[in-house]
Amino acid sequence: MTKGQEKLQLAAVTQFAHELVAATLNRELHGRDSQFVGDSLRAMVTALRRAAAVGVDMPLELRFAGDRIDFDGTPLVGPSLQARALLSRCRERHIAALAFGTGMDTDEANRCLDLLLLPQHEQAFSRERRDAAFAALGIQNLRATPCAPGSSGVREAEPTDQALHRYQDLADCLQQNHMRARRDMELAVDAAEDVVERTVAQFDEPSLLLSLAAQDDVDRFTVGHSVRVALLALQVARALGADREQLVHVGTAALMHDIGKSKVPQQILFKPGALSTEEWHWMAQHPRLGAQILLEQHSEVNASAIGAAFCHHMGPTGRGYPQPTVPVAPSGISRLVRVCDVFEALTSVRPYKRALTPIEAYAVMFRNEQDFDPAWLRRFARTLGLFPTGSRVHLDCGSEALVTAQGECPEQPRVRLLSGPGGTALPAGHPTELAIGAPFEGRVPRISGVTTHDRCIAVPEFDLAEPEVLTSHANHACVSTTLARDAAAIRPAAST
Amino acid sequence: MPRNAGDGREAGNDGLRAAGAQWQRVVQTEVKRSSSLPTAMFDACDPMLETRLAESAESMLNRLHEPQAEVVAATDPTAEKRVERVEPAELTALPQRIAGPDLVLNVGSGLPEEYLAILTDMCCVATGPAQAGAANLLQRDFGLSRTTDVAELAQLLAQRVQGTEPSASDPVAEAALEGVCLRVNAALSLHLGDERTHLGDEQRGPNP
Repeated sequence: MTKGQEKLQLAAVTQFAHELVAATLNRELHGRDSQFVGDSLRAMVTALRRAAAVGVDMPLELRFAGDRIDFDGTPLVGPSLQARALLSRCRERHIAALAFGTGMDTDEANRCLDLLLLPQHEQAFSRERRDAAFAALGIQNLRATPCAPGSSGVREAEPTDQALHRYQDLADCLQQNHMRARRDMELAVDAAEDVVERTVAQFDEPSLLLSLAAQDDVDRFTVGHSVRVALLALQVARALGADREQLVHVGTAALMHDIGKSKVPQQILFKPGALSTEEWHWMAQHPRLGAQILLEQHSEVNASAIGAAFCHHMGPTGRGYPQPTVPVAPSGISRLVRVCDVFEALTSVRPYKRALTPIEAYAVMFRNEQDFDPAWLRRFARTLGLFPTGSRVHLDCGSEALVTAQGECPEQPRVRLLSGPGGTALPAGHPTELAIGAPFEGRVPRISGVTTHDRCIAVPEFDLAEPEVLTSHANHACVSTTLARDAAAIRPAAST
Repeated sequence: MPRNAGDGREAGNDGLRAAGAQWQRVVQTEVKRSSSLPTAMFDACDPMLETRLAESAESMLNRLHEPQAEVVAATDPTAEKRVERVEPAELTALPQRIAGPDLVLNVGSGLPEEYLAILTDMCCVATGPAQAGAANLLQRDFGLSRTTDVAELAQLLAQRVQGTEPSASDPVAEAALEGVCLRVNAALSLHLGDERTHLGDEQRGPNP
């Protein structure tokens, strides 16, 4: 089999696993017979058949190992990110692997999920009861492999497992809270703070989590989006020297900023086309709905979370929504969350749009600078860099490289060479680590292009002339007198 | 009986089908009429000609009725917004735009003002538990009570939310602020107990 075929097959299997995870989440969120479950089951069955069509051995077997879904020894990290519910059910039922036959239709797939998810079927996968349980539900195209006797199904931890585990914690906590909000139940705010606190304690640099987040494809209630916004906000806040308590507040506020979307009808939230006026009205309510949900809690909710939920679509000059009855000057956390929110939205794939590269996203955001507090926008861009860690770039010598860390200037990161000029293999022993803008093998390398999974854009030479001193910050950001007072309180520090 | 949107679409489709059928008949007649051949010979030469012409006419009609996808995309404001074009000059200028004085930024800046403004807004706009929650937090974190005087409240909002003292020089703003204060007062009266707490007795910011 060629490498291309292998890649195609892995993509098909990954898609199937994504749809299985989405179907599981939809079952938990919307109930067995909802339209969303029907849609995701259809997508799952289609993905299964597509996998068969590209030559994947049938039945298609997925293995459940600890926090990960594997296929044929390959970790499927993307589908695993929001698979906490599925993996937990498999663990409870001592299932090591499930194999899906191409004869499976949507009804049978839904009955399989009955066996996996419903408490009354908890023993359905035991050796003694399996055949009878499968026969009773008419399941013919599913095969289950039980865990080896005495095995918990948990394998030895690998380096990325901690990050995966933490990401699942964040996503799972947020899913639970969205589900609770949707059902008018008390939120688990403490749980959200706990999981953010553990993330803060465990990861000094959230870029590993962020690179994982780029593979997240199942976005019920925009969970993946909110997790990424939280990770971005934490990264900037940490760079600003925020203490542990502030970091927890920033992370929790960013994680919960879209909680109001749990009250927006799903048909509107995930509508691929343009929204009608009425639908847009619904969408525009979500910041206020979010603040309302948080105010309704009996438990303590930090003021910053209420603020971020309410203000994350507000610009510093009052542009955006909602329109409050008294002027609201967004706090530092709200301004940061707004920048992270827009950056994340621009750089992620949606059904109706392609992702911009980070450098393009910055260009778009600076073009609309009046929508943001420019000081926060600049600090955000400087912290992440024009080429954030994990970006794949092309150098002007023709080599491909991976950004491994940020350098002194936002346009000059440190990179690791992945190939020689023109995609040739690097000679053994060839140095691979270099800093953009610093001499390397007799020349000064420059980034000439940046790639995403589906496109590559050229990066022109930057204009590095000394910038004019910016004095217009107050004009941009401080329209209200409160903001002007804040601006007067901040003073210039030594420039980097 | 009023028809819903679905009925309207059905009616529209029926109208389109009727127009198509009418056009088919016109085309059939027109082709035969403009031909120099006698009708019998016309049919004998190509019995399917009429039908094909009529189908072509109908498909043209349908094509006119259904806008092309690219036209829809071009006129769809959402689609247009979401396909962002970035010019090389914008990328070139980015380091300059990012540069500039490194201001000291604090994630906690402006939090008490934002919090007070949102609680005030929620007292005015929200209902039920959210309004009650906002009223309780105004009491707990800003020392307001059901007996708080409207003028006192106006003073607090003007100072801490709007950053200005209430001014008789702007009667519209003053009236708007007074309206807000009355609504907040009503919410406090509705949701808070009868304990008499005066503004300033326990003035503190948002919960830590």
